[in-house]
Amino acid sequence: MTAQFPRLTRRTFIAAATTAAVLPGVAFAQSGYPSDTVTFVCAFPAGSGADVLVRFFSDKIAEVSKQTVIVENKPGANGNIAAEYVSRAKPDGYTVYVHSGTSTAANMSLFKKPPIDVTKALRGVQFINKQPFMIAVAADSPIKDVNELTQHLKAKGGEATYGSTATSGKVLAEVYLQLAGTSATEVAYKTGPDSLNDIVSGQLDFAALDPVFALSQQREGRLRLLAVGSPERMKSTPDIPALKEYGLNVDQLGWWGVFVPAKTPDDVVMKLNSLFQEVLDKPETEAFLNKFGGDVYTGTPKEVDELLAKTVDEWRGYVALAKIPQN
Amino acid sequence: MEVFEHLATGFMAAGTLENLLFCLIGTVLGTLIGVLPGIGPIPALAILLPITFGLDPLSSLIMLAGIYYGAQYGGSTTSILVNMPGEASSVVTCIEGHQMARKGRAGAALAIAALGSFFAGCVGTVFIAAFGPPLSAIAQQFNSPDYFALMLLGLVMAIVLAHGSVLKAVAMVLMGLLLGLVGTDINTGLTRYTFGLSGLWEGIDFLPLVLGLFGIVEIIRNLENPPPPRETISTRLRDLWPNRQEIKESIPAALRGTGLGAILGILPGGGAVLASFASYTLEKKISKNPRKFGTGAVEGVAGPESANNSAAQTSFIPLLTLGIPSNPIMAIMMGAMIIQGIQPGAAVMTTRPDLFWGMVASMWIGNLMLVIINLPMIGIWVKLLSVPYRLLYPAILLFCAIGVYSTSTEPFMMVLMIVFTVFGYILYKLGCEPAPMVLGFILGPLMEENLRRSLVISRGDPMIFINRPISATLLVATLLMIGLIIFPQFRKTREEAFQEE
Amino acid sequence: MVIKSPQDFGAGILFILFGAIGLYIGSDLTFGSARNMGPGYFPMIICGLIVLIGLIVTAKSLSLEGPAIERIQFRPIIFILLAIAAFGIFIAQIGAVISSILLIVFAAYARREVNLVETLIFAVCTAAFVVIIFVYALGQPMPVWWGR
Repeated sequence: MTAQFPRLTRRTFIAAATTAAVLPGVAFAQSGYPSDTVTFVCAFPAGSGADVLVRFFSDKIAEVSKQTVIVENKPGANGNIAAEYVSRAKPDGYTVYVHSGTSTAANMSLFKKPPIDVTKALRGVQFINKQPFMIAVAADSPIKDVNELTQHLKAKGGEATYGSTATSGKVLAEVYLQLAGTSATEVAYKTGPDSLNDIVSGQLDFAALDPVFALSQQREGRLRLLAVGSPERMKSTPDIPALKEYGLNVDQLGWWGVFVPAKTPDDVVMKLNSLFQEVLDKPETEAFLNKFGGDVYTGTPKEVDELLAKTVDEWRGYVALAKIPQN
Repeated sequence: MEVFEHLATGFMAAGTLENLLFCLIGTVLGTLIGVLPGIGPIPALAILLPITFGLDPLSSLIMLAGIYYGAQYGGSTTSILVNMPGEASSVVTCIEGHQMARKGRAGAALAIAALGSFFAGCVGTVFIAAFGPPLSAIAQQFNSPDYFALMLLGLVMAIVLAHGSVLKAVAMVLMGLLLGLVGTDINTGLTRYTFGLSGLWEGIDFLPLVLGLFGIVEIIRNLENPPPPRETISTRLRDLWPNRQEIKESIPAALRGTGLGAILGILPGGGAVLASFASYTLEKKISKNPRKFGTGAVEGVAGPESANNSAAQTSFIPLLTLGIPSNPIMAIMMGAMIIQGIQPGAAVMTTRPDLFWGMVASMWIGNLMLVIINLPMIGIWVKLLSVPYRLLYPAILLFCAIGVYSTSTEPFMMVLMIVFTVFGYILYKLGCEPAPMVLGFILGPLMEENLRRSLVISRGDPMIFINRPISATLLVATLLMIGLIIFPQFRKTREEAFQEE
Repeated sequence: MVIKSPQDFGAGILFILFGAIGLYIGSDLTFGSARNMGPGYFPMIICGLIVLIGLIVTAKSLSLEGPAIERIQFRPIIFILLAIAAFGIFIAQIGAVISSILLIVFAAYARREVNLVETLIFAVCTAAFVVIIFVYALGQPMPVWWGR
């Protein structure tokens, strides 16, 4: 039976009734979590790349927990809808948010009135991966490394253009440009593939792309990846240097994580953390995550909360620097 | 020839009992889901994706491809029978196919759709096998200005979709365009026309819009003007099958549609969607009897269905040869491949030829299976039409509602569906057709995106559209198309003016 | 002023309203220039065109004969909308089965002659069928009943 706890709405009688049911529910959860269907909430539409990742983990967690895990898609508002939904769900560990920690944190600065304070309404359970965005040029471009790129951009004197996918790409590029002491105009794309032709034909001087796409095109010999935005090289791509190695103090480590409503009890959180740890330790998970352009990342719930708070602060600065307008 | 050797390898790999079984399961599942009004290929694939995780790579890809085609075939069935498009390309099938059904030729429409699709599928498979790599090289040449010109051409073609007043059709396309712009502007990150509703931040969802405008309004229309009770639907083969005249008219249309779709499908970023619309426009424009379009012209089913299917086939080309997904469905396939540990791209052809050619072969096998499954089913589907409407329409409505709820559980989606039902109702009362609006909705944002992007890249120089050969050609084609549309109108207005005197 | 083509007249007015509202709402978006289009450029021009077409269509409707607007029948549309609304409101609280039954019953009342018994039986069967397909066969995330 795939019953699911109804959303707590403010006015209905049923909300009162279920609140009364929570008390015995908490006791119930303590004995043998998980013992019922778990719902993973995905902030992306069904079938998108991120959705595939969430479904992969739902499949694996179902294996190790011997429970059914279903995926509920709640796309929209850059993840706010899903985040808010999760924050208002029953804090019993059966509603789990698997999403980009960077994006969740960034939303605090991207919107004038974020619907929830993610550091207070959600609590972290476990990490999933670290995934840096990358700086790329066409494979046949004469630019071989970041220093040459910087020189090229300076020579163009602000007339250069770069392609970006997603806010993270824009932020990486803008931070790089500021630290390198030059500028370029952004050309935004909804997805990586949209940008490919323009990069390869030389219309764009460089691009800041998501790792899945960047890596797949590097393998195809169409792009040359100059650097990653993380502070250190990634285990899965040891030959791509970090921007820091060129003296540019960039620390943009994109990461995905697992979150639950803030009031979820500690023992449920620890149990969920260990379930994910089990899945993350498997070699097939590592292989999968590497293909998605990242390294496995594990930690304790406390570390997740700390990183989330840190990312929220960092992004306040980034949004201002990259002059991203607030909605 | 090498190609035949490759195909032979492919057929051997795909022809194992196991893989045939998976192909069958995929196509049947896909058809069943596609038939449900309100669910198209994308949700179908997403829902069934986890089933394929445990299978080995070729089997899982075969099954997914089967689901994809199956959902397309199934979607055509619902479009013809109940005027409910499950996704963008089914919208065109609704126009003529459903009219044929109303005239009692539902069986013929379904048969033509199936056969046209199968033919296109065969040709498409050969295309991939023989011309895959060189074709994708052409697609690589498309830059932002070229896409802009292509979308503009597409929008002009959308006007042809209407069979009423051209002016009203233009207004509908423009209104659809505006609706498509609702959401976040990609270039600046600001939201437009969202009224502060977070549910609109990423735009209006396609499914509630199209279901509201088309499907539910259709139900209301039938309730207001109940069609005369049909005599018992005969299930004699003669009545289920297209007659000689219909077959004669369909064949050339299917041929043209296949060719058109094959070319458009390769273009990443929206080519496949254009295929069925382009084919419809073509058929209408070259027909000796354009007035029959809108009342059940069989070319209007044969052409677009073939175009659709061949575009579906060729849209695999960029993924299999270059590793680039050309539309959201291909992106799902790509995700599936990655999970299986395969990096889609040129390397696959050489490192795992059994995979590449096996997939190509399975596409043909899948098409064959679908024709075999669907043709006999036609009798059943047509029988379904004889269920009393008073029972049929609430069920359809329920499927729509649940279908929408499956894609996103936000109540806002229901609100959207209600809003568009009301809007669609008003349009229907005022004699405005929704099809051009839907096209405007899909193509408009793409057009604006590429327009602004091209101007940023060229630093404000509009000559970029003329300097590039592809966009220049497409722009000329657009002008020609506009001329084709306006010229008959002038003649008609003059005729009307004469009549007034 | 004789309206010779009521449908076209209505359509023209609709276009004018649509475009005008679009212009009003979008007026706070940056316009930019032809070489450097802001987010408001395209929408404003589109709205302008829509208004223009609306004016032309309305003008033509005063001189050319055209079809009349069919009478609005309130019953079908209101009940269909109620059906959808009922489903949307109640599914999260009471679950798919009851919401489906509600939808079907409301929708059935969109017709004049309704056989309540037949409708209820049909509603229960269809609701069960749909739930079996979507929730059990396809594993879609929706509550079947009203929670624990």
